[in-house]
Amino acid sequence: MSFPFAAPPPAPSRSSPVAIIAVFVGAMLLLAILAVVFIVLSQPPAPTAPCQPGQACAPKPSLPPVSSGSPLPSSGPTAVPTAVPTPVPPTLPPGATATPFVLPTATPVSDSPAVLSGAVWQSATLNYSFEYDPEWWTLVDSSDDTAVFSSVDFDAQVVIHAVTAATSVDELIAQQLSVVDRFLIGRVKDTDDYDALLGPSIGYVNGQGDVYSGTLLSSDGTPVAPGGVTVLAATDGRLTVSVVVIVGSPDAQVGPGTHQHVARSSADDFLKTFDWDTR
Amino acid sequence: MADAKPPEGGLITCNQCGNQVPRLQFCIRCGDPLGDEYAAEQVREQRRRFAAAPDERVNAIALVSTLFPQLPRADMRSFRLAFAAGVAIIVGLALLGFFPVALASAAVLVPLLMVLYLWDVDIYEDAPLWVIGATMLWGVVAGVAYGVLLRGLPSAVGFGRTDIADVLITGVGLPVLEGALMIAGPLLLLRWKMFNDVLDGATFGAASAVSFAGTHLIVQSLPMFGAGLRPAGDALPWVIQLLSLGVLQPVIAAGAIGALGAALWLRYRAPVTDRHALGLVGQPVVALLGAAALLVAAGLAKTLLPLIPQTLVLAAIAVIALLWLRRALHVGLLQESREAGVRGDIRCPNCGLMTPEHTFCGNCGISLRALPTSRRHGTAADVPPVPKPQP
Repeated sequence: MSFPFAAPPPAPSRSSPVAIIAVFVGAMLLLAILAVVFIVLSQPPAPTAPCQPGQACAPKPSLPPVSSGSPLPSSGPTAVPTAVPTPVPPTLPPGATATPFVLPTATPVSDSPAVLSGAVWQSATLNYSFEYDPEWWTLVDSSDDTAVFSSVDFDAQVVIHAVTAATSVDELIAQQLSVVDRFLIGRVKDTDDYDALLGPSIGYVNGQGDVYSGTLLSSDGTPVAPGGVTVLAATDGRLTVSVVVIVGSPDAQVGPGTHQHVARSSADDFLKTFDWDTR
Repeated sequence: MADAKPPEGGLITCNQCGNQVPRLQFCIRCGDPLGDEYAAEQVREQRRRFAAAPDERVNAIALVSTLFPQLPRADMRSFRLAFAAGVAIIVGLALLGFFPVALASAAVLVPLLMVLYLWDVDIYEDAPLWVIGATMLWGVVAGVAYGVLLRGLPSAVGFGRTDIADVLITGVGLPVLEGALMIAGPLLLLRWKMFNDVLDGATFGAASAVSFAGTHLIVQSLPMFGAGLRPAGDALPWVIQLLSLGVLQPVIAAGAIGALGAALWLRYRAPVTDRHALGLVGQPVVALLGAAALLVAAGLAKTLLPLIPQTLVLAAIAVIALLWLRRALHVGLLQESREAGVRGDIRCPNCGLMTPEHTFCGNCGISLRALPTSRRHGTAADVPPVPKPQP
């Protein structure tokens, strides 16, 4: 028995199957090679080392050489006191009596305004604040616990987020990294010594932190540029605060340093001016 | 009528006594021969088969026969293997850490298959070259413009916070703009009377969509190519993201825009008199809303969800888009077939046997409209005959 409409075998193809696959794979490989060539040609030149290998490396003196300047104030031997100074009794005017001791005076209170290096951002409910330079950073998003700044000149963002100390430093870092993973694909720790985070602290309170590398995604999920993310957090027992610095193309050369270094240096103002308690 | 061999196992309803009985030669209750029941079952089964690839069901999830419906059956396997090889290349490059190269490969995977398809089947042999390439070229130009536009947009401002304005722009506005750009090129071809099949609309839409998707991916990712051959990164998330960018998203775009193109051609160009028979898939307004809904759903998934859930949702949307395109092609081919009269005999380019020239091959069941025009009108000499199947 058979059905009258049993499918007959397919007719021979106009192109051989091997040819179709070979053409496709060949075209894919050709385009991949073109991509490799383009990538190699697009790579920035390797940064030149400021010092010669094997030689002592120190920054050049910023002042003119001694020989060309004014004479030293003293070139002779240092004067050594020859006798132990003796205390001189206080001289009182006639008729005055000596005061047995002076009461300590209260710390003087200044009524002059605080010295500010930039604009102040302050949380009304969590009572912390920090300063930033509006010429370098633009506040793009703000709530009581979070402030997001975009760099004016660079492809960089700084995110400062605070919670009560019920959240530990480790927990806050983990929370921030889970947010980072939404826009940074393939995140791995940046083990480059040059990018290492030295002595992480916020407002002179020691904390923890790390530097990560990956690729930044656009809001529609397209990989757009290499990215570097620095995450640090600290707690004073009342608040736990995290600072995240996100930099696009972190290894791009900017002056003598990298994009990531310049952006992080600029973001230092946030950390140094951080006031943990403004009450 | 020919006897039908009863499939083994299961039950069948006997026409004589109405009982469910074992699938044997005769009904065990009334002794009636079950040949008619098996034959009717086979006919029902045939009706569920995809007009452009009769060895597959209409509701099958099949990438190659849906995106490239005019491929002869013999070439489908080659295209499947080529697609698998392309995916393997992308995954291999990503696992080795060559992310930018893998990204470029992902961007060209489906567009390259589309070019190979158009070259292999030579669909519009008698049409001017510029018309054939126009839809893909349009996709490339629109993709460049869209990619440049996206690169100029400011990045999202909320860190971990869902900003409704960002979501509306990225998840709704941009996908709608994407869809409008992808269909604009094929619409220009709607006025050409020579392109009057539903498959023309679907092919133009899908070709424009995949070239658009590939091009805007490359343009948006250009800074990635300055990061060196092996930028830092974990390979596994990259593999998932590349499969999403290189397979799922082009398939969603091709399915949505291809189905929209099919509906537009069905409504305004195909020689179908009974347009109500086309159902919802033949209504341009419904198709327009459907395509927009698919693209917006994909856009929202990309905007709101983390990588793994996002990829799962995109896979589900890709399946829906493929099934919709397949259904549109199937309904369109069936409806168009009812409008035409029988002409002389031709040799089927798919199976190589002689068949009366109408819409479907009487031997293998493939839609003759789902074959290149040049081959459709070929003579016996054009296609080598193949041995007739033995009973």
